[in-house]
Amino acid sequence: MELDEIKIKGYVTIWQGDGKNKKFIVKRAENRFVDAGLKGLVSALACSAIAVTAPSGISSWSYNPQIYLGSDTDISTTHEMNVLAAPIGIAPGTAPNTISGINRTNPSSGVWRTSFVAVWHAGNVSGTVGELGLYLRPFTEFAAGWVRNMGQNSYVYPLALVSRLSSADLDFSSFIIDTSKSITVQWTVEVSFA
Amino acid sequence: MDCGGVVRMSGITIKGYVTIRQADKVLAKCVRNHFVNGGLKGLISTLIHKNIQGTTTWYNWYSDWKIYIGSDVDTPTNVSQTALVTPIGAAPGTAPNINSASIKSGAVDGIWSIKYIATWNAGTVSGTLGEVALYMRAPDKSDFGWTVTSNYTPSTVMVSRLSSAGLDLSSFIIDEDVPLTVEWTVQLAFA
Repeated sequence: MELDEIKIKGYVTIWQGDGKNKKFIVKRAENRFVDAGLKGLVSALACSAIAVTAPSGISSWSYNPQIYLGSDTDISTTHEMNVLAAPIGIAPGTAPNTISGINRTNPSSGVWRTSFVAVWHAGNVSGTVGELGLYLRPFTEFAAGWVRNMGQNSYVYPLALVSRLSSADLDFSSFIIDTSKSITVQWTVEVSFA
Repeated sequence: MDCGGVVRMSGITIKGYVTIRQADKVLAKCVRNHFVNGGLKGLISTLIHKNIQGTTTWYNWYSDWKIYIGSDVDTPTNVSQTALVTPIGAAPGTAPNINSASIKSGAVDGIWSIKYIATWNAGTVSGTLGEVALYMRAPDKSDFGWTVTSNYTPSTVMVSRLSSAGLDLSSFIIDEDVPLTVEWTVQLAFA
């Protein structure tokens, strides 16, 4: 195990149906990160403190995260991309019926992981899936030692596309949603040594 | 589709480089550090954070960051290491007299970085320097959507280390007549 580099990777698995009818569409396809995710991590490392006074709050990263589906099959992911090219549903996309997260795990030495799991009920989305995006609420400040003290004002960091999977990049093969079955997307983010 | 030579963006890499100086003498130049678990798991903790509520402060990564030096020359860095083996001064080590840091945008070259600079005044530390470490206040929460409802001050933990035992640098005797400066640059970029 080489310790001189940390690698952050994202993997996407998609299936339709559940139980005996479960059919995998995409298995562990590698996502592509975009600027908001990378800059958010830099911002986190540079953050001294965030503070708030009751009854207010500050919400970030995994506060109401989202995964959206899109139909685009032509546009490759670029680092400055901040939305899906052709979301399914009204922009930024049709939200899943449920979205949950998995606690931090340490499946093997030097590997730390979490996952976001989104489920759309049967019939809630339709058409071709050619792109997907993981949206989180990364920090946005850019100064060494920044502090955000909101006092009695609440603040919610904006939802931002942090990574994308696209058929245009051959990350996966586009597919037509079977509207008779639920569709589930599991987006795993893994931090490990290179 | 983009092929060879193009940044694929399928991952984000984090690297650390260390330069050590005493006056005009460069004792280590842009040497790659070795990360340990404290940094890795803290990154996932950041991603799964949900909110802070109430009258609360969350002290974060940068808060009270430190660079410490040690004299060990026998122990290479391993993934589960949490502290210098033989810190110079009372554990976790003698704090530098001056800390400063700067941040660099990667908008032009795609490499984002934070540079931490620690300086010990002449005569403040002495002996053999065989190891150096960067300590940060990495969050250590494992529940998805964790919430802070009272002040949260994670421990300052070792996130990366440089060791002569790992052949990262050659150990040297500190010249007590001049200041000692360590520059630690943490770089983030698409892979």
